Amino acid sequence: MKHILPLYSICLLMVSSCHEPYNVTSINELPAIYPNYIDVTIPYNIAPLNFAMADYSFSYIRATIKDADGDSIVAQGTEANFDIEQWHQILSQNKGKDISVSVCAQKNDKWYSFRNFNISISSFSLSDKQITYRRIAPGYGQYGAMGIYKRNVSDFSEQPIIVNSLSEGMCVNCHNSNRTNSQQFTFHVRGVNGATIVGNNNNVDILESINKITNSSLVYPSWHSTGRFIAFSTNQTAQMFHSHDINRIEVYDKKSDIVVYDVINNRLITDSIIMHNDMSENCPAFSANGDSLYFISAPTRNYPSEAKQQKYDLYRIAFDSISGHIYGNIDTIFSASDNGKSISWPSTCPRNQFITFAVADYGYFSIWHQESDIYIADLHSGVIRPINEICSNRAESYPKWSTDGRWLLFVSRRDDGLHSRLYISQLKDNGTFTKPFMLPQINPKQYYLNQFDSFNTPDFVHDNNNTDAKSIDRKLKNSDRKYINANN
Amino acid sequence: MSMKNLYVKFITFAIISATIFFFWAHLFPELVLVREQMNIFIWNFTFFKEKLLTIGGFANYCAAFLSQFFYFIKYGVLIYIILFWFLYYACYLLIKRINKHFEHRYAKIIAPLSIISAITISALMLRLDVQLDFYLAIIITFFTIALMPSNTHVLLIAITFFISYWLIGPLSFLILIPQIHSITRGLFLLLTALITIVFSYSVSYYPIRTIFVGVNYIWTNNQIFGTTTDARCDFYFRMSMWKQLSQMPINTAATKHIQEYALLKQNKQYEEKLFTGLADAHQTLTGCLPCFMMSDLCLKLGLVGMSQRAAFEGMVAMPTHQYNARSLKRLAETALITQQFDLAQKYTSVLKQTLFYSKWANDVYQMASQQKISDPNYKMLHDIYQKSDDKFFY
Repeated sequence: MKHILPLYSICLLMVSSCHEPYNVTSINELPAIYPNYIDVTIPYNIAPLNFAMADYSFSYIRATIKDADGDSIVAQGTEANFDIEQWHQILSQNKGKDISVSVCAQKNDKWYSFRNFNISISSFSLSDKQITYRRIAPGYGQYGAMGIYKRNVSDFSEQPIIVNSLSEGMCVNCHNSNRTNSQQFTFHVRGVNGATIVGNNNNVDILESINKITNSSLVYPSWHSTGRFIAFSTNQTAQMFHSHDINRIEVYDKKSDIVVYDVINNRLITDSIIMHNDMSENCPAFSANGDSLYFISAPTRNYPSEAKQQKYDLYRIAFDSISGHIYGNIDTIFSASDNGKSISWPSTCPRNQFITFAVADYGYFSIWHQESDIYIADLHSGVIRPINEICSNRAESYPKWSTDGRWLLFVSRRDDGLHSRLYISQLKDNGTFTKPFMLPQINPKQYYLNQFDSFNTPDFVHDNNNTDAKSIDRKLKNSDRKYINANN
Repeated sequence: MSMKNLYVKFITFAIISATIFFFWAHLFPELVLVREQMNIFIWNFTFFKEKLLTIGGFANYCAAFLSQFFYFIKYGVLIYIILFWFLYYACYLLIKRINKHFEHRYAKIIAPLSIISAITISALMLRLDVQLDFYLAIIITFFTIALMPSNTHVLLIAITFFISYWLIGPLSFLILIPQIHSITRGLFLLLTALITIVFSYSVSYYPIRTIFVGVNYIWTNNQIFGTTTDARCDFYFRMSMWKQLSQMPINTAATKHIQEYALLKQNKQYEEKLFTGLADAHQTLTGCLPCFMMSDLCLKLGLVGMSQRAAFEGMVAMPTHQYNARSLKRLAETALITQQFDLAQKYTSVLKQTLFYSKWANDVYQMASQQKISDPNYKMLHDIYQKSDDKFFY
């Protein structure tokens, strides 16, 4: 027995020394790592940016992070997974500074070292503690496992809000919280136990899936800042497929309108201005201060012959937060159709100065358009530009702002052109954005390789409150549906 | 044991094994082949770990491991024969133990009764909704019951039950039944069962009903996967048995299309007719097997986009909510043909970790990483894809 411990220690030493770099060949190139975290800027409370060598022929990696004071942390293995506590410590010590990352990797028993790269630690944290998203295969008609999840930004813990394994055949979508307040949320369930769920602090209402007033579901939501109103689109959605095009699917609406739901009085407020017969209004988004409602609109088209002519523009109309009615004239914010483009998914910045949206060649389901990019409009200066510094040559869409208006969360298919991944970028004081970084994971290469789901409809959530997926599921199964009243 | 006895046992063993072989390999080969498509087995630790995190995960893992060999019908039939004899032996031990309570009165019928029990349970494999997990779980449960002494300490039973419930699923409830000798013991075991169920419900995301009947024993929504007729049509299609295929009853829109193809191969149909109605693809994509058939057909017709879509729908619709190798292979092919090389690499990276697809996956991975389609068949399909006009389909 007394020999076992020293023997064990020797064995451990031998095993670990097998992965100590030796006879290292220096390569004066940046390492090709996955995810690509080279020169990104990150909030100081983000989870460890674990990474691996992108090339599968590398069997082992050793990554060392050093700061200006000489403190360092090391991660090694088939993937470089940093210790969470050490990571957070080095980040908190280096707010507003850069940390240097050096990478050594082993291929065919030879070690190579690469040029160091930097990661910038922002002096700002990610003020919102969690991110919500739906995980679903980027599929078409059929659907399998899906769920809406909440992920802590400072570590890797992920919790389901609702998953369809609890109710077979259920489809869940469009989770949206009020300005990152997780106690005010809504999402829609189709199929088995269909309903629209509206959570308002401690009260959860299960609304009828298809309301009698518009004879359709309440689909894409946007909460008013007071929490009293939710603007919904009502959509008759269909899809068709390209036989020979890199953009596989066209999702379109035969008809769409916008309505406002009064959460307190359970009534639907309709207005012909945003329910025009010849127009398709869609993607409502309240301004941060609640004074305005942004939306996109385009003349209703015939499909499929006029698919490529469906180009949405961005509009704004005043909103009365007492009565819940819109009033005044419609302002055109961006006439994308004049430029041969189409807008979707406007997202208003909490600082009220900016609005971001996706722009594609046509249509509104921009994630299926490889050319889709994210644009930003400065509402004070009137300048509108594509955010080239965060876009790739593949689809970017669905931008969402953090509570403090400093961080932008969006969806990108830059990885492989099909599976949507989440990226975060910081808005700098000069109005430009930092290089975006992918949502970190443990063993990210293995994780994303085996991940056949897409992350979509992401949003920030400010607090750490837990949501009980099973209690929501029980409510869905057992509760009578609440009928929505018409506007009186 | 006398030589005569041994001889009789051997002959019985040989006849029954041969019968099972004939039954599966010649009468129902499609139901062997289809099992491989219900699962995928990845040779890495992450796959193992993820399986173990689900109720009944070990049985599912073993089922996935065995299912990969069903890629070849003869291996699949061999596995069925081996499993049959394991089941027979488990039934034998169990019935023998029960017979003890009847003072060994029925010793002579233990063997035939075991055979009948094994045959009855094995016949469940004729149903596509009954999974291999269930079969394996029965074997493991019967062995556990048979080998666990009746005076086992109640704590040991509780621990065994708790672990086996997580590993093989709710069939492990049967382990408790023969251990109930007294009311106190019975109440304790009942409490164990309740605690196990509550714990399982709290840590997993399945409804209570699923906790009771098993996550992956029976596919309750099996119409999504397909019927035995779909399996047979698919088998004939894959084996190029055109005459048999054209004689199958038409029961789905997908079957209709592949029968048109079978007639074409027998020179009894015009090629143009095959393209009729394909634009309304959604009518054919009614389940996994119809999706797989349509994917194969569309690729044969040079309709790469439609083949890709059908394969994707088939994969996503799987009742197990996991991918299968056949779909992944098709998606890798179509990604390569349409020059989506990143995607082709992703799919083939997974398939490289399987047993029977790894060689093919390695070849395609090389093509994708070099961004060069060197396979003549894929090159031809790529050329067709490039030259074709884009059309919408549904």
